[in-house]
This record gives sequence, structure tokens and C-alpha cells, in this order.
Amino acid sequence: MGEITGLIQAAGRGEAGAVGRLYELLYADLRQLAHAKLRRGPTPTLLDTTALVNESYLRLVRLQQLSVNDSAHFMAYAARAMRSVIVDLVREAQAERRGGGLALVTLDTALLDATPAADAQILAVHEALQALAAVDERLVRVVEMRYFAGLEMADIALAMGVGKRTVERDWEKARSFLYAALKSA
Amino acid sequence: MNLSPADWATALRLLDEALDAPPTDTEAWLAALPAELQHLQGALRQLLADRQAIEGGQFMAALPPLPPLPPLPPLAGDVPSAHFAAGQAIGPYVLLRELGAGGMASVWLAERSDGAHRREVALKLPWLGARAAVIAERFARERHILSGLNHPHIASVLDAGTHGAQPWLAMEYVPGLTITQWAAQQTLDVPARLRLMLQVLQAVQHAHAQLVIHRDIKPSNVLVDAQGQVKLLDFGVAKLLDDTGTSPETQLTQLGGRALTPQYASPEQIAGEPLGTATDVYSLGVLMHELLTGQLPYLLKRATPAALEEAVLAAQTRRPSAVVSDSATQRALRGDVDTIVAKALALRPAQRYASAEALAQDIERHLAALPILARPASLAYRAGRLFKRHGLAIAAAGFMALALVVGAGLALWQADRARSELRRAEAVQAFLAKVLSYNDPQQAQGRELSARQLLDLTAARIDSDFGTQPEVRAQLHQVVGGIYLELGAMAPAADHLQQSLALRERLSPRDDPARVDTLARLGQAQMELRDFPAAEKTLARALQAGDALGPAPQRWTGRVLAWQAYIASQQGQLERSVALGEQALQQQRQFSGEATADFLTVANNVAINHIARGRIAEAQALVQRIEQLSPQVPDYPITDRIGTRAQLALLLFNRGEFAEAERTLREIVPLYDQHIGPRHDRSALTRALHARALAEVGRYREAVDVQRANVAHVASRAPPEPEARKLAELQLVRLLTQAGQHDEAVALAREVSRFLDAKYAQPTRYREAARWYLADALLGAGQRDEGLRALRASLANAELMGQANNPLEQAAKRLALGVAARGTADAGGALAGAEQACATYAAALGPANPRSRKCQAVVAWLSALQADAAQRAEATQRFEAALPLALQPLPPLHPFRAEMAGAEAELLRVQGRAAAAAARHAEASALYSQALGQALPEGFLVLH
Repeated sequence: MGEITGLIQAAGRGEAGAVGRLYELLYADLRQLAHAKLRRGPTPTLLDTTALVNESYLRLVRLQQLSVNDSAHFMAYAARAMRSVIVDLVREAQAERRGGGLALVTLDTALLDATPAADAQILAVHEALQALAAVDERLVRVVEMRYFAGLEMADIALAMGVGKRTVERDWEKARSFLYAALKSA
Repeated sequence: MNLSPADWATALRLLDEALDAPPTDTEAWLAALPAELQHLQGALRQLLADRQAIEGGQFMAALPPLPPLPPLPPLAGDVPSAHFAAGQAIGPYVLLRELGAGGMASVWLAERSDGAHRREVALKLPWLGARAAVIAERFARERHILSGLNHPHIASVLDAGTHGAQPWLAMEYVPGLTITQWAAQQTLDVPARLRLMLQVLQAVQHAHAQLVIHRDIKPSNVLVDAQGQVKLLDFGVAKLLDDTGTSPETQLTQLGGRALTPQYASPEQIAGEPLGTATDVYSLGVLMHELLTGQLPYLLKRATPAALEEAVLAAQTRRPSAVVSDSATQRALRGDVDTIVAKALALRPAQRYASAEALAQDIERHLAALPILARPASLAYRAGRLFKRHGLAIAAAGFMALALVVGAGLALWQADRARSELRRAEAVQAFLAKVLSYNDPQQAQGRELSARQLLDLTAARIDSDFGTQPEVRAQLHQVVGGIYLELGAMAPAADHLQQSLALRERLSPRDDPARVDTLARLGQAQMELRDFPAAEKTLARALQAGDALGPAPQRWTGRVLAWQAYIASQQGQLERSVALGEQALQQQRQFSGEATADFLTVANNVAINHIARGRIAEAQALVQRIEQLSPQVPDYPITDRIGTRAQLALLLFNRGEFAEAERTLREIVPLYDQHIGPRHDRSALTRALHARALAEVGRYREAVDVQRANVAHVASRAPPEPEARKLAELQLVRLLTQAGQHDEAVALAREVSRFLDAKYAQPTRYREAARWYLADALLGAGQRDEGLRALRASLANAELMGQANNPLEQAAKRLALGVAARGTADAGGALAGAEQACATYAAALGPANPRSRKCQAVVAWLSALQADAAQRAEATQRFEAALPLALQPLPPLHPFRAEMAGAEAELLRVQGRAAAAAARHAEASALYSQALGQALPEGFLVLH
């Protein structure tokens, strides 16, 4: 049995340490993939996180670390790892910028009035999710899979074992919460 | 808004209700909230008000583009990626502007810095990473091959080199549009697009002739210049940047984690199988489809995992004519072009066009209005692809032929019958079409379903959809049962086949060929499910019904007899199984001759029976005959051919050539996994044998791992097959004992033994094998009394099965008993049994067989232990003579060597030489420790 599959099953059984180890592995894998996609340049880069998650999945299946039957679980865990990867990248970039004294290149200004600059939004969402976790953990999962991993509603439904309509409603609830949180931030 | 988490939860719930059923008057709704929730009014009002901004403004619709990131801090093993800029020098070139970048490399327009030629080149600069050195080396090695690719339609590779650590590849720069863009811009019609494809094909054929495959054919690699000439880019470059030729584990640790664009990758690329020219043919098919229709042949919506799985298993492609909307194009594509594209996209490489040239020729024939050579994709063909097997045998096909005859003036009642058969045939075809139509995302509600899920869905609807047409239902249940059988899903297969039979019985008491067919398949399914009593009854009925239809032998006779032979042997009726096996061979030979798939299948089954009886020579003769005949029988299923190899491996194993058996099995297991999947019975059996072979060569840990994986696969069968799982666990018990993991072995053995004892009231082979392995485990754990009891019970019960179920198994038990019972009151009797065992081995395997020799050495030792003082010297000498012969085939660290050293120690002690005995035992223990990581127990009870 592949290592990832084994960890997913162990995590499902509630074994201590399995979840942590699983995230470690997925985080490392996704970060490496993200690394390769991002390159220095004058323009902002749209990071296709969905493609990254799928590449990671493909790679792990081919390395026989993961069974194709585990795709739903994998997506859920990978989305959470993706969240960490993105947040870390943004924080590192911020730290470098502050240290290096480079000016922040703002994005399309049309986005500015309602929403903050990209990295600020990402970090704000991340923190708001920590608050949301105390309200309804399931909503956090949906946000990770939808926002950070860019998965389709149907896939999220599969991963969570609920109906698509439920996911859609969860997403709306989550969005309302996050909007309120970001507005007041 | 500052709410407590509990309040938030409530607020969100209320919000959800409001969004689901928006109140006409918000204020009234808010006022109507129960008293304890009134405090949330303000928050809810705000939340509802915010909805407009959220929905209108695309709040969090997607992850925003990230602002420029500085060079990221390297992770362990990373090399910082290079940074390119215009004006930078790379090799003899200077960079002008970036043309593009992919996951693997960046491509820049460049010119020679010395101004030697004004010609511009495209410079490919792979992202650096740990593999930079390897890539640089490859570029150097391969460039003369690639620069030898001179063809008007291939962008030439000019040069390659490294600039410091940065490898670079200089290629002919082709300004132009991609082939799809060009075709759109020029508004080309279908024939013109086909002629463009011909240029592409010429290029690919040229490269194939030089043994270069492209591996990454897609529109962005196929450009068209201003003169309308096609240029293929990156020929063979994918190979340089990929990590091939290394072990599968590292194959994907590529630069920047580049993965395939799944939409263009062939099934074998996604599955990680070896590639060939047929891989390019597949991609050409995808390209052609896209060129003709503007869309990809299948919807991989953003490459979701489910869709990718489907692509690997059974790429469900759509016909080009089905995809386009305008009727003129549809007409131009329907028929030949559909067929050509379908053949290029065949799932199996062997079924595609053999070469780009062959594909080009069919296109040319079409353009010249000549008939093409590819076979049209019939309904049966597509159904076969969908269910992972080719050639679905639909009985309806026969009825269609009959329908054609109807018009030729048959008698009325005959015409009537033909018409009703035709209607049934149409119903079947419509049903299958419906099954296939579930591929339509609309129907399937946007979810990609696996082939098996599709089958389950539609099979469940047979009775409801055709409630008033029992004949159609009977037919469909039979067809569906047959498909499940092919898929290895025996339980639903049996279920549907039984339903078909029941329906047919009600419709007509007469036996007919369809019924015999159903009975035969049902019998097979029941047999595979190990429901032997039921299988026997069914197969007997099948033969009876068959006999009533005409003189034996018939098409199915041989196979049914062979199955009966197998069932007989599984139930311990070995003589009967041999007789049936012989009959099966003879009948099959008579009916179809030897060089046929049917005969080979029967022969295979009979060979298995011979092996079960320990008649190696007969088995070997049959297997060799099969290997001899196979080349003449191309339609002998590949899984069966693998099976023949597996039989040979089994023979090698039984002859004691364990290392070679292990090597063979190591190759066979992945083949089975690939063709029939790891859950199939045959895969499980082969894996189990591989584990045993590993154990025999002393690789116990690996053996345990392999068998554990086996158990996991079998356990994951759906629907569950508990007996098969128990069998796999049983095999694991044995290996755990040998690996020295006694506690786990005993626990597992108890469980399995309990299960089998509950299931079978009478002794059966597996029930007693479980008892034997439990005994083994107990003895390995040092629990002599209980172990001996179990071992004796197993021996005695097995004897009750009439002819000893497997003489070799009984012999092994007797030998084990001799070893475990030494020094007890029954030592004499046990020794006699062990001597009998040696005789059995010698008779079945020959006296020089390693197992025979082992037996002889052990028995000689036991005799010497028991001999009285007068005879001891001579007995010891016999032991000393037999021992080297037994040890000779074993690897140096085999635990048996240690055990025999311990045996010598015991002999020394019996001879009164205590000090020497202690020393020898210490040596033995050290050896044992080296082999297994444990000390050799005093008075050890089991041997390896």
C-alpha cells in the first residue's frame, strides 16, 4: 500500500500523528510544485492551484503512493496543505519585501476598493478561517477546497461525502462570514 | 460584527434559510424571530445586506494573482531557479525576448552574439533543479540525433550546450500560429484541415523512422508559418527533459514537477507504461480531433481525479461528427473520418494505426474517396472498450443477421419469429446505447462515472425498464451477467445470470443454447465464488441441457468438464478430478482441435489440477504443450498466457528452484495488475506465490510485505468476499511465522481457523490448512502442546477427505510433526510419519529435489536423536552425509542452516558432549540472529 494511502487510512481511523505526517508530505510536495510554477517577473502570477493539486495527485498515483480510490480524501487533505503553502509563500514574500525595501506593486486597482491587495486578502482569509473553525469546521473545509485549491463543487461534494447543494450552501455561508470578517479587519 | 461562535453558527443557519427561501419582507421576517434569537437581528440584517456586494462583486471567486514574489527560499535539495533577461548571454547566443514558458523550461528568442548568422533561434532553457547536470549531459548526448532530424516540417534542432550550469537547446525559430489557430484564421474546411494533418504525419513518420518519438504532440507544438507550411516543434525534446530509463520511483521527480497535459497524453503515458510510436499516433488522433472539431475528444473537466482515472482506464472518446454543430461539417466527418480518428485513439496501442504513415494513407484514401482500411467502431466495439474488454459477445448480433433474411419471403410464422427476435435485438441494442449514453455529462449530472458504476446503474434498471418484456429482461440479465463475469465481479454476475435463468424457465421449459450458455457461465461464477455445491449442480445441469441439444462434444463441453475437475480437486476428490480433466482434454480436442483458445484454456485448468495433486511431470508436459501451441492461437487471452507463465513459475517453485521462481513471479505480478487489476483472483494467487518464493529464498520481511498488500487488495473487493480474504490471511500467517513474528501469526491464525471451522462442518482443504498454519504459528511461538494438538488434528482431518488432499501438504505436516514431537512420548510415531513424508517427496519430486533432500537430512537427524547408543554413531554419520546436500541450494543466510547447526548441537548434547553442544548452539543462534534478527530458541519447534 502506498505511503499516502496508508496515512489517509490511518488518519481516518484517528491514529495519532497520521494527519500531521500526511500534511507534511503533501505540503512538501505541493510547495515544490508551486516553486516550479512561480517565477520572478514584473507581472503578478496567477497560480493555478487546481493544476498543482492534480499534478500532485497524478504524481503520487504513479509513484504508487496513492490509490486512485483515495482521490476524494486526497483532495480534502491536499486543499488544506495548499492553504498552508500559499499562506507561507505570501508571508515569505512580505518578509522579503519589507526587508528588501521593494515597493509593493499593486494590482488591478478596480479590485482595490472592495478587496485588499492580493496577499493581504489571502492572509486575512486565512486568519478569518481560524475564527470560522470555531463556528463550523465543515465550512472551513469547503473554503480550502474551493478557494485555495480551486476545486469544482461536485468534487468538493464527493470529497466531503455530501450533496452538491449542501456544498453550495456551505460556500455561501462561508462567504458571508468571511466578507464580514474582512470588512471589519 | 462581534458574535460568539455559537451565535455565529445560529446566524449562519438562519442566513441559510433566508437564502434558500428569501422572505418577501425582510424586516417582518427578522421581527418574527423567536425571542431568544432577537439579539441576532442586527447581525442578520447586515449579513443579508452584504449579500449583494458578495454576489455582485465576485467575492472570493478565485485565488487572486500573487504579487511578484522574490526568489523563493530553497527547500532542501533545491537549486535556486535561474533568472533570464533580455541581453543576457547564453552560450554563443544572446537573449532577445521571451517567447513563452512552461512547467519544464523557458523559451527565448535569441541570436548569435558574434553576429555570425543573422538567423534567429528559439532557445530552450530548462528550469534548473537537482537534475540540471543530468539534463546537460543528455542534451550533449542526444543532440546529434536530434539535429539529424532534417525535414521540411520539423523545426530543426541546431545546437545544444551548457552555459555554466544552465543547459540550453537551440532550435529553429518558427514564427507562426498554432495549427488550430491557423485553421480557424483561414476558415479551412474539413478536407483542407485533413491535408494539413498530412503534413504533420509526414513529419512524424520521418522521425519515427529515425526512432525518435515526440511524446508531447499538441497544438502548441505544431505551428504553421505564413506560407501555410507545418512545423513540428520540440521533437524528441520531451524525452530529454523527462526522466526516463530510471526506476519508477524517480521517474516523476522531474524538474519543476512537470506533469503531462492530461488532455493530450495517451493512456499508456498516464499509466506510466512504456511508450512507443503508437503513443505519438494517439496524440495525433487527439490533435486531429481537435483540429476538425475545435474540441478535445473527451471532456477532462480541469483534469479532475475521477476524469483522469477514467482516462487511464478507458478513454471514452466522442466521435468528431457527434461533437460539431453545423450539419455540413457533420456530414463531412461522419463515417470515414470518425472511423479514422477512432482508430488512432484506440485504447490499446496494438489496435491503433501501426504508424503515422498508415494513418496518413487512410486519410489520403478518404480524400480520394476510396474505402479506408480501419474497422468501423460498432456498438459492440464501443461497449467492449467501455467495459475494458474487447469483443462483447452480444447474442443480438445473430438476430440482426436473421432480420436481414426476413424480407426474402419466409413463411409467415418464421417471419413473425424473426421479427420478434429483431425487436428483442433492438431492445438490447437500445439498452446498451443507454448505458453508453451515461457518458453524456448532462445525463450523468456532471459527475464522471467509472465503467463499473455505469454498469451498476443501468443493470439495476433492467427490471423496471423492461417490466412487460420478460424475454428482453432475460436476455439483458444474461448479457449483463456476462459482462460482470468478464470484469471479475462474480457475485453480481451470479445474481444476474440466475435472474436470467429464472425468467427463461418461466418462459419456456425447453433447453436452448442460450440457456446452456447461461448455465455454464453461472457455474463458472459460482465456482469462482467457491460455492462448490451450487456450482456442481449448475454445471451438471449445463451438461445435461447441452446433451439434449445435440451430440457431445460441443463448444462448452470441454470447459465445463474442466471446471468440474477443478471443483472436484478443491473438494479433495482427486481421482475424480483427474478423470474429469482427462475427459475435458479429450472432448475439447475432439471438438476444436488443439491449436485453439478453448483447448488451451482447458489444458491450463487440467495442468493446475495436476499440480494440486503433486504430479509435477504431467503438469509440466501440459504446460510445455500450451507454450508450444500459444503462438498459433492469437486469440488466446493474454491473461491466460500470463497464466501459463505463472504455471511454469509454480512448477519451478515446486521443483525447488525458488530463486528463479521468484524472479519470474516478480515479472508476472505487475502484468496481472496491469491487465486484470490487483483484486482479481489470479493476481491474488500469483502474489501469494511470489510471497512464498521470497520466503523460500530467505527474504522474509519482503514476503510479509507482499502478502500484506495482497490481503489489502482482496479485502477491498466490492462486494466483499470474506472467504477469499481469509485465504489470503492464511497465507500471511505462514509467512509471519517464518519471519519470526509469532504473536501476530498466532492471533491471525486463530481468527482464520475459527472462521473456517464455523463455515465448514466437514473437513476441507482450506479448513485443515488453516489448522496446520495455526499449529505452525503456535509451535513457532513455542507453545508445543497446543501446537501439536492442532497439527495432529489437521493431519487426521485431512485423511478423512479420502485420497489425501494434497500428498505434498500431508508430507510437510508429517515432517513438521516429527520435528515438533521430538523428545516427547510420541517421538517414535512422529519419526515414522516423517520417514513416510520423505518417501512421498521422493516419489513426487524426485530424490534430488531440494525439499526431498531437506526431508532426508531432517529425518536423519531425528533418527540419530532417537537412536540408542549402539546405533547412534552410524545414524549420526548418515546425518552428516545428508546435511550438505540439503544445505547446498540454500543462500548463505538461510535460517535452516542455523537450525541445522542447532540440530547438531542437540546431537552433541545427547552424546554427552555438553561443552561442544553449548558452543555449537551459540554459533547456531548467532547465524539465526543474522538471518532473522532473533535468537534461535532452545528446542526450536519449527524449521524453515
